[in-house]
Amino acid sequence: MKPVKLAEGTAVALAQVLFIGFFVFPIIWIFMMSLKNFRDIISYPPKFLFSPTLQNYSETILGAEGALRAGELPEYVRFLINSMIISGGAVCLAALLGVPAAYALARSGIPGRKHIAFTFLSFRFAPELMVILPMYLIYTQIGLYDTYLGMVLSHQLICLPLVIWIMMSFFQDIPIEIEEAARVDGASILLTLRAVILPMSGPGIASALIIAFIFSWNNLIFGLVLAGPNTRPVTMGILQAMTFDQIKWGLMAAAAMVSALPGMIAAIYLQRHITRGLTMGAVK
Amino acid sequence: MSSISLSGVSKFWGDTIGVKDLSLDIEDKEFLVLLGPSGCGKTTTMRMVAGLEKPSSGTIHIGQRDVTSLGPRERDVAMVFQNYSLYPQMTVAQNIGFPLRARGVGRNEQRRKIHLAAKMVELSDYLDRKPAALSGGQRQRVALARAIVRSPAAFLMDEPLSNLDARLRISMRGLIKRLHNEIGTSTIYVTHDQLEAMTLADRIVVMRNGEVEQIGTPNQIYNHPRTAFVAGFVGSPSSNLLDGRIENGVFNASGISVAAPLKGDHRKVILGIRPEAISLVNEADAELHGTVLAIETTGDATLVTLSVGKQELIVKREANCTLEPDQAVSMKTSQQGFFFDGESGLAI
Repeated sequence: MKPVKLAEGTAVALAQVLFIGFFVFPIIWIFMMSLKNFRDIISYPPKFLFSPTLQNYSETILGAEGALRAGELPEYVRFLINSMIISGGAVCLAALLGVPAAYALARSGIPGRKHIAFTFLSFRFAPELMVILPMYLIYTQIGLYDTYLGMVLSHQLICLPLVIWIMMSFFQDIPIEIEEAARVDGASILLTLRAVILPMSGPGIASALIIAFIFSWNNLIFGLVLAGPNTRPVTMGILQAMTFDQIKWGLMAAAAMVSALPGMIAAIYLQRHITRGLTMGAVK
Repeated sequence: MSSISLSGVSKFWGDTIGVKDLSLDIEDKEFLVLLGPSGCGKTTTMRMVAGLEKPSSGTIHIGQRDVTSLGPRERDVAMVFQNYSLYPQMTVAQNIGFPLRARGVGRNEQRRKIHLAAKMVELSDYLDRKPAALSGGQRQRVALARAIVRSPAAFLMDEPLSNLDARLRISMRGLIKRLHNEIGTSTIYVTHDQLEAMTLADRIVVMRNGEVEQIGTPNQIYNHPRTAFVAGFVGSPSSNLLDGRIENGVFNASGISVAAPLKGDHRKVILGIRPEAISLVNEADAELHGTVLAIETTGDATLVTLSVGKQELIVKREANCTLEPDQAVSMKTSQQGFFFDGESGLAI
C-alpha cells in the first residue's frame, strides 16, 4: 500500500473510532453502571472490572420487595405503560391527521400551502418551555391536566410536524403520473390515497411513525409539567431515582437502559425499512 | 365510442404559450396522431382532453357532452402514459381491473373483463405478477389492457412506445394498430416519431410552437406538406430544405439551379427535396453539382451527405453505393420538389 493511502486509511479509521466512541461511550458507561452495586458505582477511580449484578434491573422492573409483597404494580412498570399509552396514542393521532394533511400539502393546489407546511414545521422551532406554562394553565382550567388525552394532545406538538414533513417529502417523490393514471381511471381522491398512494408509502409511513414515536417517548418536559401521578411517563420514572436523601444511581441507570430499549430497537428496525424501493417497476 | 371536438382551445402559463387557439375534430373510430418536436404542445393538448390540464380558453366536447370543466373521472377516457404509470404494489390483474374497481363494477364482471383484456394483449399468463417482475414491453401491455378494459369513449396515448427498444417498438406498434382495428375506439396518439405517426394514423396533426402546422392523412402530409417545417420534419431522413431565389423560372441558390414553375422574379423561396428524389446523373443532365462529405450506411440504404454550393444535402442511395468522401457528383431531381415562400414558410 502506498504511504499516502495508508495515512489516509489510518486517519479515517481514527476518526471513525473517535466518532463512534463519542456516541457509544455514554451508553456503555450507563450500561456498566446499571450492572454495578452502589459501592462499585461511587468508587474512584472508576472500576471497569467488577462482579455484575442484576439487582438494579430486578428492582426497577419488579419493584422493591415491599411493593412486591403488597401486590402493587411496580412504579416503573406503570410509567412504562403510561409512556406506551401516551406515545402510542400520540403517534396514532398524528398518523390519522398528519398523513392526509401531508398528502394535501404535497399535491393539492391550496393557495399558500408552502406557508402552511412551514407553520407546521415552526412548531419545532421554539423551545417547548415557551408553550408549556400557558398549556399548564389551560390544562388545569379545562381538566386536561394529568390525563392521557391531555398528554396525547400535547405530544402532537412533537409528532404532528414530524409526520407531516416526512410524509410530505415522501408523497412528493411518488411520480405524479401514477396519481394522474388513477384519476383518469376514475378513482376518487380517497380511493387514490387508500388504494394507490398509501400502499406505496409503507416505508415512508413506517419511518415517520417510528421517528415520531422515539421523539415522543424520549420527551421529558411535557411529562414533567402536564402529567401528574396518574400519567407520568417513563422519562419521569428515571428521575424518580433521585430521592430526597440520595440518588439511586444504579436504579437510574437500569431505568434509563430499559426505557432506551424501545428507541434502540425502533432505530434498528427503521434502518432496515427506510429504503424507498417500493416504487420500482412503476415507472421506467 | 365518441367523437372528440376541440374548439379554440388555448393553454397559457403566464407568458408561456402551451397551445394556441387549437380547433380540431376527431371523428368516431378515428386514429389521430399529434406529431411534433418536444415542446410543440402535443402532450398539453392531450392532457387537456384527458382533463389533467384546464384550458385557458376554448371548449372541449367528447361526443355531445361539453367536458371542458369536468375532471378526468367524469370524462370516460382512458390514457396510456409514456412511463407506464402502473400501480407497483398491485398485481397485473389488479392493475388492469383498477378502472373497474374505481367504477364499482361487480367482482365477477371485473374478473371476466380482466381476462378478456389480458387475452387481447397476450398477458393471460402474467396476471399474478407485480409490475416489477415484467419487462418494459409487458408493462406497457398492462397499461394498454388497463385502458381497454372498461371500453372508454376514447383512448389517449402519450408517447407509449418511446421507452421501448427498437424491436419491441415495432411489435407494440403492430399490437396498437390491431387493437384499434378490433375495438375501433377513437384514439389520440402523441408522438415525436414520424414513422410511428405515418404507420398508425388515419390523420396526422403536425404541431409546432403550440399551433397546428398541418392536418392531413399520412399521404397528404408526406406528399403535400403545407409548410417548410412539415417537409423538414416528416420523412426519414427528412426533406432537404434549400434557401434560394426564383429568377426567370429557375430556382437559384449558390451552386444550385433547378427548374421551378413559379412566377415572380427575385422572390425568396425555400426548395424542399426528398432525399430519395435525387438521382445521380452524368454531367450533361446535371441540375446540381456537389462533393461527398459523409457516407452513412443504414443497412437497406446509404445516406450520402453532400456539399452543394454553400448548403448541405442528404441523398438516399441504394445499399451498395460506391461513392467515396470528397468525390464530385452530378445530380438531378427526379421528382418535382416542394416550393415554400421564403418569408412565411407556406407552400406555394
